Amino acid sequence: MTRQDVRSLGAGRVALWCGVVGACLLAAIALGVSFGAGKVTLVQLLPWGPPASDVDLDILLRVRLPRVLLAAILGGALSVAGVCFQALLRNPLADPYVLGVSGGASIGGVLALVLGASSGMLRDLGVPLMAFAGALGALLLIEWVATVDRRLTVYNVLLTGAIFNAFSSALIYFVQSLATLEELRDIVVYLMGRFPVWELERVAPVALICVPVLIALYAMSRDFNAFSLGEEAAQQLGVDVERVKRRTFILASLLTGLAVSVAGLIGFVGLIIPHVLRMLLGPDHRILLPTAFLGGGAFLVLSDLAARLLIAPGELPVGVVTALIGGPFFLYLLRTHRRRYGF
Amino acid sequence: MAPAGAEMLGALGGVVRTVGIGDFVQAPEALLALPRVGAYDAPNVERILELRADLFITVASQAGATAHGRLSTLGIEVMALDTQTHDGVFRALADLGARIGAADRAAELAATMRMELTAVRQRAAALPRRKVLFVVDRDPLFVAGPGSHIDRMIEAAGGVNVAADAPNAYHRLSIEAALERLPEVIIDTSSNGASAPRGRLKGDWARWSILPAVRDDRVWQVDPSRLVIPGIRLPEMTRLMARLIHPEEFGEPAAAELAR
Repeated sequence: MTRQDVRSLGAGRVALWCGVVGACLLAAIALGVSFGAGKVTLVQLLPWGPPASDVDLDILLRVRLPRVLLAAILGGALSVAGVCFQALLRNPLADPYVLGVSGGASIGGVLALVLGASSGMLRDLGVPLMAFAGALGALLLIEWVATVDRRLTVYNVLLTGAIFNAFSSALIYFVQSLATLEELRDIVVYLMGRFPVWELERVAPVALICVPVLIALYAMSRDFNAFSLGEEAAQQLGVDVERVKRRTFILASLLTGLAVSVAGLIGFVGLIIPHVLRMLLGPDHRILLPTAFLGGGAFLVLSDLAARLLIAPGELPVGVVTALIGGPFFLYLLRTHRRRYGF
Repeated sequence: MAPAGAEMLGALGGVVRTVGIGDFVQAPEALLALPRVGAYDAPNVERILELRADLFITVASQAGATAHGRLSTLGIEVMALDTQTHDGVFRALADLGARIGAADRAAELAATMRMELTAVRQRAAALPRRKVLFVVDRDPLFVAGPGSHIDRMIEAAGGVNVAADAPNAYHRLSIEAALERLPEVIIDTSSNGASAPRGRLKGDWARWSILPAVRDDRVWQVDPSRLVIPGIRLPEMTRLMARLIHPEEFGEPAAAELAR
């Protein structure tokens, strides 16, 4: 795609597709709030629906709604992080989970749990901060190791990611072996991942962190488009390559670290959604970034709905659902696009 | 040696012949100075050989099966006690008594335990049955389901387990399902720190003010060691369960009785 094509993207097209994908997200949220282990449905809130008891209202508004909104925000965040990594590394398989960035975040979080951040403020802040640091560290390491001739090849990225993931799980097992019984339980719960039972007031800060990050990333969408021509070409087009790279790495790691520290390891959201959207809408990041946020949100809300319903009144970790869908999808991508990816 | 086995051995007078204990053993006092030889599912084979043990008492578990087989091939008799159920506890007591030559003492003990259990059951039978949620872990929520020793105690102590339809003895339960069932008593054993606050305390459950248990102030914070390891203390545990479910009838337990 040339710069001319990029310019000609109409505002109408962006609005149209954001509207379409946004409607999908709203539908997913409505479904997510409607069903769960409890029998109450959204219909009961309507004036003509059957009346809802106090417990039903609590289940709807204080259990399901915050959880569904959290899933929408974190799914969007992971999906946007995927788009950014893919743009910068010029590699369609660069998902936070595959890259090992999520693994890095989980090491950070686990270390924070064991190194005394076991309660109160320290834990509320320490775990996300360490998760962010772990995500960023993993990303820098991967970029440093896997770059050959200023370019990340698919082989290198997958190999480095796989090795880093193996290394990080070994490190986590090591920490687990030293942990007390109480810490061990915290670690297992943290790694297994779950949406915490939070009130809306606690979901709001997560959204507040995401919004400026997302805006800052969107502001760089033209730069991402230039990146798809290669770093040198982007430089020639007037993009401050190093600065954009540094910023994006930090912001996307922040999104990944946030998602991991709130809900544990959730894989493949950043792979499936960007890929599907790129097939539908083309590679322009000005349309890809906002739709990836909305689509990622919808995908995670629906995955979480499945996680809540499949074995109700029990529950699956949501990462299990996304990985069960994402794993085969990943293999399908590798198989069908192997020529383009250089296999 | 596993915790349940250690308590039984203590009651049967087998302490003097014990050479080592498991990592999780907390009672009886007389055993605690002995060397620790690993957890029930991962015994340290070298240490056990070194101590010249000839009998290894543990709980029957799939996790430990391989290690237990290894001990057997090395000439150490392994006694895997099934203490998960009430019947199992009585069977284990009889087996252990027979093995260490204290069969009479074991039979005596079993008779007393049965009598005490019947007494609690009879007294509780006359009371209204309350809906009980027994919390093993809070976030994510894990509860005691059907077939668990806890489930059996709740029933004996005049309660109804609200998670009686869960697929497993210990199972993850959606918070929605827990709320919808409107428990009248919540017994929360999720924090097991020695200094965790104990007693009639709502803790995080205070959020759900629509629950009868919260409204009527029947949320208890209890150390898991008081209730979850079945064994020789079964009557004591069942009595405690009855006091948590019907404090006005069986007497209000003091905080110290709910701590480790």
